[in-house]
Amino acid sequence: MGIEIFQGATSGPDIHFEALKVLLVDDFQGIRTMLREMLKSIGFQEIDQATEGNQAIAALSAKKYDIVLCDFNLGHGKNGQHVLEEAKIRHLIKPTTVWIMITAEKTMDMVVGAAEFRPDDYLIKPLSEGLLRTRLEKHILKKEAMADIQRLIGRKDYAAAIQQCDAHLKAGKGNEHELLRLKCDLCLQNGDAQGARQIYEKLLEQRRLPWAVTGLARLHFQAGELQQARDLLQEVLRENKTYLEAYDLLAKTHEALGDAGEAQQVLSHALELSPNSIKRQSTVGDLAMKTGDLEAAEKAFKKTIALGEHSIFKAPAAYLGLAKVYSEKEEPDEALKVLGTVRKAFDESTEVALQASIAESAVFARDGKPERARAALQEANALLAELGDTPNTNSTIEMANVLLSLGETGQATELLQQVVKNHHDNQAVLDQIQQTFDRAGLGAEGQQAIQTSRQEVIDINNRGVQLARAGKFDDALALLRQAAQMLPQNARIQLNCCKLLVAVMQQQGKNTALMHEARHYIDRVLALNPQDADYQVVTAALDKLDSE
Amino acid sequence: MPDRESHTSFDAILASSVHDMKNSINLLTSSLEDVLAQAGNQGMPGLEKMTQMLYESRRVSSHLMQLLSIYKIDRSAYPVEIEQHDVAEFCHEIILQSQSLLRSSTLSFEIVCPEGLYWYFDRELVGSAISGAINNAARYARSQVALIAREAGGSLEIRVEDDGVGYPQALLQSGTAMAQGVDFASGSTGLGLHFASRIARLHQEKGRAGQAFIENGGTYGGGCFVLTLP
Repeated sequence: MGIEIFQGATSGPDIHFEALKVLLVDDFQGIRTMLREMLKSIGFQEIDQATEGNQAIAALSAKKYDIVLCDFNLGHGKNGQHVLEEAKIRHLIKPTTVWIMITAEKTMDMVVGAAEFRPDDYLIKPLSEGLLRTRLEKHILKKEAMADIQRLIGRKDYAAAIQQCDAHLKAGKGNEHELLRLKCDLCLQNGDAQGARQIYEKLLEQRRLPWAVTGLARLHFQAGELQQARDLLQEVLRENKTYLEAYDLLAKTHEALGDAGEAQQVLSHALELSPNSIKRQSTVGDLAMKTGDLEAAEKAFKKTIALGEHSIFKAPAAYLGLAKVYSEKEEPDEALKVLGTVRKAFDESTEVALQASIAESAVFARDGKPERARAALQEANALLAELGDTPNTNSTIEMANVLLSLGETGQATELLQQVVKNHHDNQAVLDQIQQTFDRAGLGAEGQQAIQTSRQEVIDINNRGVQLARAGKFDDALALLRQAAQMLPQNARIQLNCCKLLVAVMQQQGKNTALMHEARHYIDRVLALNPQDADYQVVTAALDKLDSE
Repeated sequence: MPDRESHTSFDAILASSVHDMKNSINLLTSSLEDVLAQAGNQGMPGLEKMTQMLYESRRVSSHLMQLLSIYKIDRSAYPVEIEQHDVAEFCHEIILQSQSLLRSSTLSFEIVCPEGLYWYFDRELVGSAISGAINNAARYARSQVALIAREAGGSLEIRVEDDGVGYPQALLQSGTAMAQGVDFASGSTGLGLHFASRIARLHQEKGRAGQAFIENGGTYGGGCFVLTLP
């Protein structure tokens, strides 16, 4: 059954290349010309070109391309991976766009990103026209075959997307492995840990695939089965020394097991293999702060800031972290300088200015300048009023810290109690708050305050349930609605409010306004905690109501 | 690309030079391919010599690539990605990469692989080992080269066979030794086989590891390069 070669080269599948828009990104004129000739000879007609990252982003913003051929190394500025990440996050490309990264060799830097930011394929230079054509054909057809699933994912209708995956699997349409992997990701998105576990286990019966073992470990981690997670990840790393995702998760597992030092060590090793991941560098910075290793923290935060220069993942946290390092090293002037740059680096955004002001007040407080600390806090409060929102958890705790050091115990306690109420069932946050009180010498008072606030939320929840059971839906709704609005970050309250609305509609009939409200709460739950065990059950109930 | 943070040890200098030479050789190779493509079937004088040049430059390019990969694997700096691949598709792609060479020679080439066979391996590393073997086979074949893939004893077996005179006895005997390391005494570095063995051993499943070896015989009774992956 020998196959004559080259016959496929001219009579491939029926694809209308001439109708597809291509963007070609390479910093070398010679390579662009060569690739352009190849693309024309394959049959493409609309071929645009860009020579560097920002030009590519501009082109992608102006036109929706079907194919992007992008060199990984684009000289100075953004590299190909930066361009891809920005294009995905800003929705500059379609779900059906085929993205091929071209590179002289495979390096660790090419696999730094999470799976959702991987290109569809890599092509290693030197390229031949035949190979380019075959790969393009393969990916165009694959995207076409998966378009129905992608459409559902685009609408965030994960349950339907999972059903469609099953339909493809049953029909033997497409690569079984890839479909199972996609289905697994969708189960996780949809909060169905059990479904994902079944797929991993089925795949692992055939082969100890590192990504599947790591996926299983992630499920153990989320279920709080930390030892099992650790053992699986160590197994992966024994045989796959360059599998970076496993290092990241193993570090998180060590941290959850209470061993920040071990976590930092695991991540440092991963950083040696691949120093250019923003997320990993910034995590190492945070861990080093926890273990009090200021030198390591400074190095990691500086590197994070440098890596952020060309990346969509640039974030203020690394600047705030670096300022804290300087402050703790008794170098307040350096700290303030960093906080000055963070405002500029994020175009004077109010939210960043708020975080910077809070951090500034902390620097002044530590430096023994209470007046200036107060002034900075006042500025923060003004910005807070302008935003009309609550600052993030870390900034709020930081703010309370400053207030405690200024002797404003009442105000600080109030802020911390608000955080407790928003996270009443999150032990890590509660521990962090207890430590804040402990450091201010208010351990006992703090414990009392935390307990009171926790109980307050638990009581609201219980009362809501009792009222609902007694059939007093209006009273129950009034209570939980108010709580949901006051505690926008409390996933449990949002979920219970949604459950109540479902119960009301099951009894009294569907209602567009209530349906809309219920969807709002369940979307908050997904945003706050995608792995919430009840999310799926409640969503299914809503879907059922919707279809009635 | 030279890494500014690393020590400028001899290893590092060597690696960055290899990288640089690989880029030059690749430019030379693609120029040669262009000229050969333009010459087409017009029976340009010196065509045979040019094909010979192409073979040699591809050989150097493939060896430099393999050297660089070994360097990176030794330092855990190569992102090994063992994933499931369609073996028939993989074989076709290998041939497409060697298209220019096989087209300009008078060899006939055959792929023997069942449809629907899927296996787990790192596409780039295994591809590089097989391309090197095909390049070698094209050099020694009289008229036939075959790429054969099949499942055998719970492993994937990939064979590159030719109808040449086969490997000399001395090479066959020292083959295993070469697969373990470089044999300077034999005058041949056996880099291709060494590389293939290294990357074969990166593929492990349930305590079994991949292997690479050479033998004589096969379909045409010539030289055979064999790679097995668990």
